[in-house]
Amino acid sequence: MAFTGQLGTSDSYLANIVLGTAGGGDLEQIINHVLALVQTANAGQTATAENTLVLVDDAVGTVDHFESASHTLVLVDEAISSITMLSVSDTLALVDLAEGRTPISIAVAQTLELVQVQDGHQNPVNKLIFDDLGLVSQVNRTITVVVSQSMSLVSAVHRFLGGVDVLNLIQSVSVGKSKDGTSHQLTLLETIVIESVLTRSVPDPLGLIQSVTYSVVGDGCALLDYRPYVGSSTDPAFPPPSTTKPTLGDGTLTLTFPFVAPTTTLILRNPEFDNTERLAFNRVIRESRGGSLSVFADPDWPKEDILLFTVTSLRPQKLDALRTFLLDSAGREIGLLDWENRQWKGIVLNPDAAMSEPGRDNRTVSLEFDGELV
Amino acid sequence: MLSLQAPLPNIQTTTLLPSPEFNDSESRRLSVEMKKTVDGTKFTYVKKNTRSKLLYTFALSRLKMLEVRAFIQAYFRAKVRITNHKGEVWEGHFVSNPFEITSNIPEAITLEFEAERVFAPAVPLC
Repeated sequence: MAFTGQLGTSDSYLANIVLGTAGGGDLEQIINHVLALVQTANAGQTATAENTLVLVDDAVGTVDHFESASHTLVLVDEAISSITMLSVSDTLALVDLAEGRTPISIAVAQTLELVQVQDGHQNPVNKLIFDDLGLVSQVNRTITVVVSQSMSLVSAVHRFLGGVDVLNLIQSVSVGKSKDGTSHQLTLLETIVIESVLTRSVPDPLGLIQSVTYSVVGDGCALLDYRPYVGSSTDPAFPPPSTTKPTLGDGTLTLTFPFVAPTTTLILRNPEFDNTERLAFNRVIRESRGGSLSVFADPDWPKEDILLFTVTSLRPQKLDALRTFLLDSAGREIGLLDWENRQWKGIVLNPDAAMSEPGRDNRTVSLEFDGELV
Repeated sequence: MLSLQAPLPNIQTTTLLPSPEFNDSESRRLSVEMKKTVDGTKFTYVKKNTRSKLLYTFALSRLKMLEVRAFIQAYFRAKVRITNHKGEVWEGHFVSNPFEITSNIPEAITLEFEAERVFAPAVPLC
């Protein structure tokens, strides 16, 4: 048994439809009851437009046994204004009542879905949007242990310049008689979904270097002695020279081979004056088109420290020993203990040095030694 | 007396040296190239800047030479301030390569700078 009713364009209608059950004899498993109503009110140039639709839809099942009772009421209430209005009000009142009158009902589910859309096209004048939703859920005479009431609210605002977003939740449970006590629980779940979090880090290094140096007014000894005036600095690029005064000793020119675990030792006379220490550095010196001079050198680039010295008055036996030493150690690292008792490690660059004989039993040789202080 | 200070601009180390030997020199970094056309017209191309090349030879004790050696090894690539025996203040770089230390009594070393004069005392008129 089904009813289909359509209401015309009259201003007000009261529809009270009581649906009976299927015939009183046999038991029927499913009862469907569909009511579709369409009401349209057109307002021309009137200053006030009212459109009221009151619906009472009551479905009562009086049979003894229902496995499923479904009651669906779909209402679409839409107020559209194509002209500028001072106020657009759209009120939708719904009373949805579901009763399970028999004590053997397993579950009573009641779903109420409301979709309310307010859309203002082309720069709406009204700046305030109110969205009120009142829900009343009432259960009478039940032995159901758990009464659940859930509400989902989804609010989306686009092109929102600013305003107040307030959500008031009030849950009240009134119990006349209770057997196992009263539970009153309000659960709020708020979820924020973030697609991605972009963290922008802006490096802003600011290097500050401070240094302290001396302003020497006068120090006569400073012109003769080892006395560098080294202040302090936080610049790691230029480690300062040592302030420790070197100790100069007396020694005899001694060559050892190999440098580690030497097996050959040759002692020569100390060289003549005018021996030379040659310090050579790899640097890039460039002059720009504008005329400024740029000097660059990586501190890790190799440096040369070459000793040039001439040993004279060598006897032939010593000269033979030197010749043998140079032949054995050609191109290999040797040790050199110099005349100031400093230990060097390096290579003789000219093992083919000319050995001249300026006088009887008087041999002279000039050596070049590339090494480093140990 | 001559002082070497490095590194610029954050000076940390000062080394004092005696005045250099005679025959020190100062030459401007200036070059002129002249071209002459077939009709005798002369064109000159001048390359100039504000720097000068300074050449100083020092006679030092052995310990002072070791101090200069340590200074060179620390600041051969740094900008150096030189306050010379005339009171002039120069700022520039070492351009000697290699640095040769000749052991004698006294020991000798020749330093070559390419620097810009940042201060010069007033020259007396008389």
